[in-house]
Amino acid sequence: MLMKPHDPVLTQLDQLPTGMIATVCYIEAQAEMVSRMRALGIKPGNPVSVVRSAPLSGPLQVRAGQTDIILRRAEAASIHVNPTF
Amino acid sequence: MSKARIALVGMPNTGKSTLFNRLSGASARVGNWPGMTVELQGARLLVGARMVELIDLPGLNNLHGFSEDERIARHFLETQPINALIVVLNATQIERQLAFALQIKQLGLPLILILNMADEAIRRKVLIDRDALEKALGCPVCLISAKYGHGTQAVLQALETVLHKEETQADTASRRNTPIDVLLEDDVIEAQTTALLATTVRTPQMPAATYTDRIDNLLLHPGLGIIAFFFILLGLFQIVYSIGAPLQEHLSEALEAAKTVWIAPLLSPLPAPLTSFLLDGLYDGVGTVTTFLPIILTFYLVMSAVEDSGYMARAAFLMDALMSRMGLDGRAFVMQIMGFGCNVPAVMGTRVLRNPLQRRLSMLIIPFSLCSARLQVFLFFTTAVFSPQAAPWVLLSFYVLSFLVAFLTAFIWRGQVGTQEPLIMELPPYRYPTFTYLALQALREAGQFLRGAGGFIVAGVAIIWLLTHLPWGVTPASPQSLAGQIATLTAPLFEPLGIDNLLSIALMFGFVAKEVVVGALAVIYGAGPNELGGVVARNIDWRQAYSFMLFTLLYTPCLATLAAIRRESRSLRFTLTSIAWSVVVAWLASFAFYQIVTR
Repeated sequence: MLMKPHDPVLTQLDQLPTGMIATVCYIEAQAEMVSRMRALGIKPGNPVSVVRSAPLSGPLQVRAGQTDIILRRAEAASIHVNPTF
Repeated sequence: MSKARIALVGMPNTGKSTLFNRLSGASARVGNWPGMTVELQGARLLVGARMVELIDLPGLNNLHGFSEDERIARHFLETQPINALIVVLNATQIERQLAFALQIKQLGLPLILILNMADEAIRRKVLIDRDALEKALGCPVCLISAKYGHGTQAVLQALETVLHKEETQADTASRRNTPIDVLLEDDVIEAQTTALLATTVRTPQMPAATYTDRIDNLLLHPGLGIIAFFFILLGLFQIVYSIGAPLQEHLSEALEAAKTVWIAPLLSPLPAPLTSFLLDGLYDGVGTVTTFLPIILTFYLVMSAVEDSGYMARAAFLMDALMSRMGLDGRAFVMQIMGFGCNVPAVMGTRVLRNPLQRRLSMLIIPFSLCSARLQVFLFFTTAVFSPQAAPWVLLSFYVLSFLVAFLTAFIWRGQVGTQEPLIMELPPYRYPTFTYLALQALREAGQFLRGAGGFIVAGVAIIWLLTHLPWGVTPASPQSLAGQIATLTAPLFEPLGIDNLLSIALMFGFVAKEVVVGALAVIYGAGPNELGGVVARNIDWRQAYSFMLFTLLYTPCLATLAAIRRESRSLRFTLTSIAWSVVVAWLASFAFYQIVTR
């Protein structure tokens, strides 16, 4: 997926509208968390999307490649993504 | 030929344990390993002519991982001699899991790579070139479906080949364990993985919508999903108790019949105190606890099916908003609800929480769930003491209190859990649970409970018998017995609660099991089953009755639950803390209630 260099609309995964596909740019978390996310398929360059969010500020269901993952919004906020249109 | 030791490793949700069960059949056992603080599943099997010890390590995402399971698996790999490793990957997710296999490969041990759920991978159009992968990795690669048993023969053959090769290699130095922290950095592996995947695996760009997505549209729907969740819980509850409860009753009748027909005549030559101790103490006490087994069995089967189906992760998703505020996650909520049937299996079920501190918090609040045994006590008292109009409301108030106290307890103790464990887990696709091995495992589980808890339970019932029957010759559980004397001593503690000496003796019985409380009252008041209600109604007023029920709801549920807590927490200190907490809470609640209503 190509990134337009003049148009880096970075956002955090918890802000990404449901159903929109984005590319992971970087993850701002402790090394252990980053490696856990990586093991689950969330890593820079990979596509992610938010499938749905649980009510009452509950966790998000995120799709990364062939894997669906649930994670809390706080952790999702540490994932910076570039929405693709 | 020497015995070989082989460990199974893999990420969570790869069907690793299913494969373990396939390979080991009935021979699996749970055992302690030297230097390990947890029990691991192990099994012996014959591969070719060599005896192989197969160990199922807990699921891990990464060798550098930080979860409890990952620590355990890593510790095992670092400290135990191992001849070969079986790495299990989920074939549908090979794209992200192959890196794990490469990381494991660096340990330098002979390796077999298993790509499980190969059938699902084909359906999802994930195409894997097995031969190319085998060549590139230099180890056997098997595409299998552990659930349906496809390809497990090939695994055994590969195992034989690998072991044969390993044995003929004179160089034993290569077998030495590599310390895990000297392994390559994750990004180096990352690059290797990408290169390897490019030549061996083809996956669809974005997965097509599946039946899982369609089911989730309903089951994870913000409104309907919650409603469905409660209906599913209700259904599980119904299944467990409509199967387990009648079995429990039959078992209890059978034990009673065996007692009168065989055991009592057999023991009749013995001196009376000894007979009484063996029959009324040990046999009845241990028998009562044994009657929990049918419920534990059905519960275990149902819960494993729920986990296998993938719904447990959905429960976590739905209830996390509520439970995270109490330091727990949604899975703990499921156990809390199941506790309303019986606390014992619910405590054992906390194993789905992988963080040990979270598990303890969950184990601390489950005993407040109003179980069916306590319900019996409440039904008796509400019918005896309250009007038919008031009785349902009294019962309802106990259900509400049960939740309130549990959540309050979690809220108070959540700080002890430390920094909150982040919730990040796979949401696996829905799968049909496999019952074949679940049944075996359920039996194993029940046996382990009896073995593990046996001594604890015997000691408990023996103490209660001694208290109520000594000094020998007094009427059991009368004010002259040790229990009666203790009740007199502790009277100043229980008087402000409206609980008199006779009732506090009943509470001592309730420590063994709430099922025996009403029976104990009959003995204490010297009343037959039909007159008991009237006798109780004449002796205590509604305030005392409510206060007694409140105490019964909140203090230690029963010996079996304590035994389960002790077994699951592996800590006597935690078990004692749990007892102390519940007794203190019970006392405070009853005290507050009785003082307010009698004012």
